[in-house]
Amino acid sequence: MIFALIGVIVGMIIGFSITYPYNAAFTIYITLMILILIQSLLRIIKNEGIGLNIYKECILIVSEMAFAFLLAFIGEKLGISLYLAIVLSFGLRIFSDFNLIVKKLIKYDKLN
Amino acid sequence: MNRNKIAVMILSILIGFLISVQVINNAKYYNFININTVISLSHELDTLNKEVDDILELIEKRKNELNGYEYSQKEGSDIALILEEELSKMKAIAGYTNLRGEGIMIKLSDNMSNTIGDVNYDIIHDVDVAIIINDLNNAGAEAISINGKRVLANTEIVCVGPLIRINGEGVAAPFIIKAIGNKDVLAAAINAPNTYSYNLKEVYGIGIETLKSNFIMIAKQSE
Repeated sequence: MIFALIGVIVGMIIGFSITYPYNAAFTIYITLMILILIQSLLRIIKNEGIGLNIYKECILIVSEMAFAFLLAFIGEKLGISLYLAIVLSFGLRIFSDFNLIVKKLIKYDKLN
Repeated sequence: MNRNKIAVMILSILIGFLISVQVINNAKYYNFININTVISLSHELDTLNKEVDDILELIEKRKNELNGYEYSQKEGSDIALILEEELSKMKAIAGYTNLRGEGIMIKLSDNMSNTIGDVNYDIIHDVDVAIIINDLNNAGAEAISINGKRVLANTEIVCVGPLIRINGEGVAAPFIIKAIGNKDVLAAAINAPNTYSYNLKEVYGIGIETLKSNFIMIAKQSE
């Protein structure tokens, strides 16, 4: 948890110091990337105690990203806001993962 | 465990980096627009471009006129002559001079035969006259008059009960329309099949007679 927080702060410092301009068309893809990364970060934190294979996690993240980009691209070509579906699904997952992490932290299952 | 922490670290650094990049690039000013918006905007752009083209054309035209004036001055001819010529042209268009030339005369008269239908179908209305005038103008008429009343840009053709008001005066049927221009073209605009006046003649039985002439006289607008 603390590592993640420190990492986000470090990343933000790097990002603000390197001003990298990009085409406005990529805004959606960057947004989706952020969502997917947050979700996978939460998933890793959630599964820390159980034990996880980091390579498989990497494969999962990359494939999720590729598929999300594909869907967003198709949606843009068809004129449908298809990226909203991805935003919704990952938003739900982020929330449920966050819920589980908080429950684990405050030992929700134990009464008192 | 250590590996996990490294992974978490890398992921969170990446997240922070991307978020800050998004914030710097002011993502809130960009909207995700769909095809319909693009189409309507491109239509708007097309009309604006067309307007610009029209205005550029107008500028070109005015420049040509100006060049003409300058050229005539350089040649040594009097600029007053050219201006007077233009003035007489303008006066002819505005109805200040008598005009004559080849053209046609049209006589419009009500349907006199005994029909049992609605009487409205048998008489000539203001709309009929207006459409025939428009047909003549489209066929290239240079000057038009109805029963001696000159048809100008601000002439009204309005129904006032049994009469038609033209230039503020009532005019009764039969209407005699004179038009100066290419007589064959003007006659074709009236007599050709499927024109408005052809339908008036053949379907409603309204009397339309045309007369081609090499000498049509149209009087100036009476004040």
